[in-house]
Amino acid sequence: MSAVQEVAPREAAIAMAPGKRAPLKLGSSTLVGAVILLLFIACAAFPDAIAPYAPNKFDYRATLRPPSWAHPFGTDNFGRDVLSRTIWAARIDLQIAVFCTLFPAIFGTFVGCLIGYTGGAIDSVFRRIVDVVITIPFLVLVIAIVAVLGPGLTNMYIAVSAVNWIVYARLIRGEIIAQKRRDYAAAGQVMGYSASRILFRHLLPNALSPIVVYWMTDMALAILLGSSLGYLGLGAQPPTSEWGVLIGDAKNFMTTAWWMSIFPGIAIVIAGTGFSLLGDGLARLVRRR
Amino acid sequence: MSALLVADDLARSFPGRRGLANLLRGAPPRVRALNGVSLHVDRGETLAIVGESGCGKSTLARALVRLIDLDEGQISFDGMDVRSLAGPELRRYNRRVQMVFQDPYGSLNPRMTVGQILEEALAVHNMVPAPQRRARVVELLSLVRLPADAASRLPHEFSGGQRQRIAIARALSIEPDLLIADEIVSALDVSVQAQILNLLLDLQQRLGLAILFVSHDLRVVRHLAHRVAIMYLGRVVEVGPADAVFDTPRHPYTQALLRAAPSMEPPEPGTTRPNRTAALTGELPSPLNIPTGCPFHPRCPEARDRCTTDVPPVHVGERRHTATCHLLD
Amino acid sequence: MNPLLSVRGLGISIGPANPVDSVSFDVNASEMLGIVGESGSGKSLTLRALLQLLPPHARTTGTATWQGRDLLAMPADDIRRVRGREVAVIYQEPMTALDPVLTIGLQITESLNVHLGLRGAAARVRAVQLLDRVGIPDAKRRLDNYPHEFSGGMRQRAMIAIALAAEPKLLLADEPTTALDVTIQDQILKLLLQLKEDLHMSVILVTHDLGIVAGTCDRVAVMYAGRIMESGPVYSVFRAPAHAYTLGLMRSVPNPAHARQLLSGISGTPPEPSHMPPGCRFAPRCGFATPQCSEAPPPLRECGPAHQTACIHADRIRQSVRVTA
Repeated sequence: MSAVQEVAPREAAIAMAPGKRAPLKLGSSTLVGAVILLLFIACAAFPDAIAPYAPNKFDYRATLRPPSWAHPFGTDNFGRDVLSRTIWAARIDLQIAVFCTLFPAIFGTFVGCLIGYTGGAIDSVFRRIVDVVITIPFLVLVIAIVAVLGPGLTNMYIAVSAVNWIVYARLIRGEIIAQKRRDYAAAGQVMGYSASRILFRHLLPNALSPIVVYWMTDMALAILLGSSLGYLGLGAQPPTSEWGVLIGDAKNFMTTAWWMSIFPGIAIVIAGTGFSLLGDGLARLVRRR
Repeated sequence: MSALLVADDLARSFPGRRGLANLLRGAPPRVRALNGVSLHVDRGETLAIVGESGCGKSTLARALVRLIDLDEGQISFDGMDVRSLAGPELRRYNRRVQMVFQDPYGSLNPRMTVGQILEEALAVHNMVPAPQRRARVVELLSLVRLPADAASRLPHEFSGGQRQRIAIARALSIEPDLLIADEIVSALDVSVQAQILNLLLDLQQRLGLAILFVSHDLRVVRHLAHRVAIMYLGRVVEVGPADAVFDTPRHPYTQALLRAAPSMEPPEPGTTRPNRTAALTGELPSPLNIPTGCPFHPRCPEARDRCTTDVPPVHVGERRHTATCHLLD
Repeated sequence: MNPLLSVRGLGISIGPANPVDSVSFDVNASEMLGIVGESGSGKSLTLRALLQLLPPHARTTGTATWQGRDLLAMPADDIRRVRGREVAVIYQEPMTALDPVLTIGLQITESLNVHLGLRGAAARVRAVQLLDRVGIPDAKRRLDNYPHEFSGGMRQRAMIAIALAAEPKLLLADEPTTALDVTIQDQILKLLLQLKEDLHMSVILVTHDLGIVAGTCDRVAVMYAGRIMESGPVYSVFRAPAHAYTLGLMRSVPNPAHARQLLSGISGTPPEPSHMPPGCRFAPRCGFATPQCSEAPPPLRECGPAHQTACIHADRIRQSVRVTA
């Protein structure tokens, strides 16, 4: 075996290929997204410090005032400051973004994992459920459930969660099935690893990235949904400041006091853009791996 | 030498693709990947399985580690009935029979460092006490001739050959008796392939490992194998000691395969090339539609009437060099 | 005799990387030249550069003289007329080179139409002849098949038929048998040899398999890290390699006479295209290397009849071959 000893030291000295990854570049758009979200989080965390007025302070001497230095976003029909209300609404809307998606993301991921890994009859049943659920428009389904439970934020969370987890489960199921076909999954099986180890320690981390990216988008969708329900009077209830509620309050003044609806509307658009930009950045980051 | 693993009459078929034409015809056709395969692996030896695509060699490898269930047949490993194993017993079997896969890019979890990959194997099977795991990882890396600092890197930072070393280190970490290697050097450049072949030879000598080496590359197989089994359409058509199979092939398919493999000897200048016609005419038949009688008869240059109707018997020759062919009667 | 194609100082740069550097070789009429090398050696890039088939951000330098004109500097319209008509290409994976939604017949008649102006029944008759020529049985009926109805070997034959449509003088074959089984590979190589002789066509065969070179080529150029290390008649390169890389490559291939013995191949891994070593690019992995090797890139020099090497230690290497033989 002298040849081995001869070769071994030379081979051991093989220089490892230098790290090929370029320094992380997320791009300016991701940065913009992150800054936008941080701004909204600041508004949600310290509304009393940022907002110039209390959100529900009536001022009957100054009703329906257009934007001015004292009231940059104008005032509403009760003389409430629209800027302050929009800032306070960030708290509720971010809460909606998180509460409408957190449970579905976690529960859906868990269920999707099990279904994708197990396959067979459970998978067939799940696919039928998905087929049925996706034929009904999401908003209609949620409204139907809220109508049964009664309006309000909590019931809205319940309604959205009851439907939304299926989206996550469907997404992760496909990912798990794709990962399961790869050789490292087979290698884990041959290594004698338990099913739960293969599923949660090996497959899930590799299947998770699309979920994280979708979650960002879904939070933007949740804000839109929450505001829609707020506008319809099924979500947050007045006098709570919520962008949809603000726009709903403004519907009788659309032509006379445009500022009442435009500014909360812009807030929704900007928040949605923030989540989308950050989601795109995350997607890029995830795709590099 | 006693047999470590004995496979007896293994059969497995898969449902074929369900096209519109097949739907109208009723039941979907079945791809018969394994069609009565029997062989054995002795302790410490290398048995090579050779064949072209569709011959069932990868199905066989995966069936032996229980990644694929069999329809029929018996596998016994060291006296155990492998097909009936389940739960912890199956895991104990897998500890003793390991597999390395063809694609070094797919068989390692891309999100775990090499150290984590190896430590996990050691931990799950309780190979060494927790405090000594790190040291054992370094030992394993040096066994496959990778530097110790490889442990903190992710698989994508390595070249194909280095990843294949990592996969071998993972398989060896739990000290198996039998290593099943499914085309493990096919995706590698020839100089890297030589490094891996050297590693396998060295490891076998040091650890007394038995190796089942699945490959389509006759040169590599001749270099590594003690014994060789040639497969064609889900059957073993010839099996025997490597030198016997390569120097005095008995089955016409083996003979054609050897003639078709490119040789490293260029013709002398001024002479014409010796083999101007192809070694074998015709296409590989589809495993969906296996010919009757001897499955090789449509391509066999020496086929007779009997070959189209009767399944040929097994002829056992000297040194257990067997071939399945009517011409040997 | 003037060479059919004469490549001088071909260099390819893609961004900061320099995957091919000062490559020179000739192809003579009715000759099969093998370009052999491992992945990343630049062999396929070299082949593609000849017909300006590189991605748009790649830059080439040097010349490739074909019929008195430089292929590398030809305007797009002219090179298009050369492609397919005078110089044809076949690839490793016919499935990606053939159009999946057109029948094989249509793809051949299209080629006949574009290059020779053949149409209708005349084109169809010629297409059947071509399929027959490449050994596809029942050619008339197979004309109406789609590529997916062909097996891998048949697809490669069909691609060769398309390439032959305009009777090119030079065929560029990029690993044409790598995806095929050994008996089918054998059939395709024998077919290429036959066609080369019958049609007096030259072939450049890019491959990673030394055995294929030994069995089919007349001359060979060995590439490593973007440069030609050695070139010459196949017989003399195989019998008396004059470059350490060629020797290492040949010793990496298992030899039946030394079964189950350690292979004395090449240690280490090839350099990154963006971090090429100075001097001889093989020097860091070479057992024969001396400090001189890393000083300047050694040029190709004669070391036998029509045999060139880029190794300054060719004599020592030949001596070691003689000692071990």
